[in-house]
This record gives sequence, structure tokens and C-alpha cells, in this order.
Amino acid sequence: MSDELEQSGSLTAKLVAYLDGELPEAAARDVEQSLASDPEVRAEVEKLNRAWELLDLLPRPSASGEFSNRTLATMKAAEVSTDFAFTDEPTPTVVVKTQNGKVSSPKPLIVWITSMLVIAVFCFFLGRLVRQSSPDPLLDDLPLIENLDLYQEIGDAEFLRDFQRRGPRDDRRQPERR
Amino acid sequence: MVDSETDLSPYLHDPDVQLMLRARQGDDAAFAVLVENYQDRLVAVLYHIIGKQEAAEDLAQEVFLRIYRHRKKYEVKAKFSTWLFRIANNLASNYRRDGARRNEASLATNESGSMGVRPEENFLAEKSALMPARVLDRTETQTLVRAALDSLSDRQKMAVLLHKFEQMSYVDIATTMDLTPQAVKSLLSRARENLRVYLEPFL
Repeated sequence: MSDELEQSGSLTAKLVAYLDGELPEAAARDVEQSLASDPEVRAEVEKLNRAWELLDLLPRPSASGEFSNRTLATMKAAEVSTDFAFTDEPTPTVVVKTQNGKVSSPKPLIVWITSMLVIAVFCFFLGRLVRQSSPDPLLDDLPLIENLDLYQEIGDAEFLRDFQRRGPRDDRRQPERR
Repeated sequence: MVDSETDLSPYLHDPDVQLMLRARQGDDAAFAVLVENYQDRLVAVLYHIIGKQEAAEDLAQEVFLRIYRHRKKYEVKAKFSTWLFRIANNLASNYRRDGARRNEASLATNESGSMGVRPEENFLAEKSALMPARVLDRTETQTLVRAALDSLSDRQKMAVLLHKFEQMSYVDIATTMDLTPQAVKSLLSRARENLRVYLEPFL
């Protein structure tokens, strides 16, 4: 076989590309020169070509008679299901007409009311929790604070005991008889 | 029919691209023509990749289904046939991969299909190899050629089928199989060398 071909890459690849008409013009001329001068290259090309031609015997089954109709029907069905799956409003929604006649969905209103309720309930329980966990000493002493001035005026407990024993003093004096 | 985005595409002269562009605009009749034009070609290639007519038709149907689903996003970037067989090649690869997994799960299988040479074909090849002078009838030769094709790797087989059945150039095969033209040249060279070796006793 020619040394030039051996050096320029895989011989078989070149021969196959030559048979397939995929070789550049210059490389194709090289192969043709080798074919003319080298019986081994000619034999190799002949075998490659015959093996390739045998592939013409392979069966080429056609699609069955119903293939086309079945495929087109499947495509239509798939498109319908896709349209349904990707529709903007997949589930029926309640539509409300506002006073100015515009159509609106009640969904935002429901969400808003629900949010407010949740926040109110949360605040109620949070308040209770705070009151239970940290009692205010000022609230506990509220009765004392309210009467602080009176208690300061009384002075001490001895006075209160004396007051209880004698009863309230009557400051109104009887006018002296003349 | 054709917008400015695709005006410069070199593939606009492809009549199947024109049909696909009409399908993109909602012309289902144009898509039906594409199905008619390609169904047999697609099934023939997939049949030899998968080895079963029914599975080949199911896969061909899936190819058309995918194209139809994405028709509104279609862009002219290649010949229609190249694009279609590229999708088919990807689906066939997935099918073979899943089949290999199934095969791992259950080693016993009677049909070889793309998973290997059918036992009767192997037997025939061995038997005939012992008698190279024997003249094979057409059916036997056909079986032998199928065995030779099945002896190729999946990628070699796909390249051979695209070249033989679809008369695709190396560049188109490269686009279809996501390879370089140089890789296709090498792939086809090895494939044809393997075929020659397998079939040599009968050449």
C-alpha cells in the first residue's frame, strides 16, 4: 500500500470517505492513484464496497396503516390535555360585580378578612400570655396606691385601734343651759 | 409565513422546513403531510435500532408528538430531516438505556433487538462461517446482514442507518448525532471495517 496514504491518516477511514464521496479533491486524487497502482488497496475498497451494498438487503419496514391517523389523533388529544393543564384559571371561580359594574374576584377580600382575623386572634392570645407570665406590681398594689393619702394621714396602727375602741368622736357639743 | 428572524436561514429552501413553518402557524394539515412523508423512513431506522416493529412505531409516534408539542417554538436551525432524526436519536438512546436497565433486572430475554445479536442469527453466522463456499439464499443473507448490523455499537449502527437509509452526509449525521464531522468519519470507518470483517466469508 502507498506510504503516503499510511502517513496521512487511517487508510480505511480515507477509503471509506472516498467511497462516500466525502474526501476533498486532492485526497481523492491520492486514493485514485493508490487504487490504480496497488492491488491490495483495490481489494480492500472492493470488499468495503460489497459489504456496504449487502446492507441494501436489510428490510425497511413501513409504518402500519393506522399509524398516521393514530399519531394525529394522539397529537390532538395531547394538545387538548395540555391546553387544559395550562389554562389560566384551572378551577371555576366566583365572580362578583362591583358597584361600578367591573368584574372582580372575591378572592382578595376573603384573603384580607382571613388575615385580619388571624392577626386579631394572635394578638389576643399574645396579650394573655404576657399578662400571665409577667404580673405588674403596680397593678397588684393599686388599692394601696389609691388610698395612700388617707393612710398617711392616719399615721400608725395604734390610732386605728384606739379609734375602734372609743368609736367616732362627736365634735358637736351640746349647747350649755343657762 | 416566514418571519424576519428566519429570513437568513440557509435551510429555508427545504420544503419540509416550509411545511414545519406552516405547522408553527397552526396549519395542522401541513403537519399531517410531514407525518406522511417521514413515518416510514423513521420507522425503518428505529426498527433496526430497537429491533421491534411495535416499539419502533411507538417511538416514531413519540417523535412526532414532541415536534408537534413544540411546533410554536420552532426555529429554522437545520434541515427538517436532520432535526427530526436528532430527536429520534435522543429518544432511541433513552429507550436503549432504559432497556439496558431492564436487562440488568432480568437477564433472560429471547429477543435481542438492539441489545445484541439474535441467537438464531448468531448460529447462522457461525454455521455459515464454517462453509464459506456455501451459497446462501436471500433470506439467509438477509439474516446474516442483520446480524452484522447488530454486531455494531449503537452509535455505529445509527450512523450507518442514517448514511445508508437516509443518504445523509457526514455533516448532517454529525448534526443529528451531536458529533463533529471528523468523529462521524471515524465512526463510519470503524463501522464499515467491522461490517467487512463480519461479512468477509460471504463477499
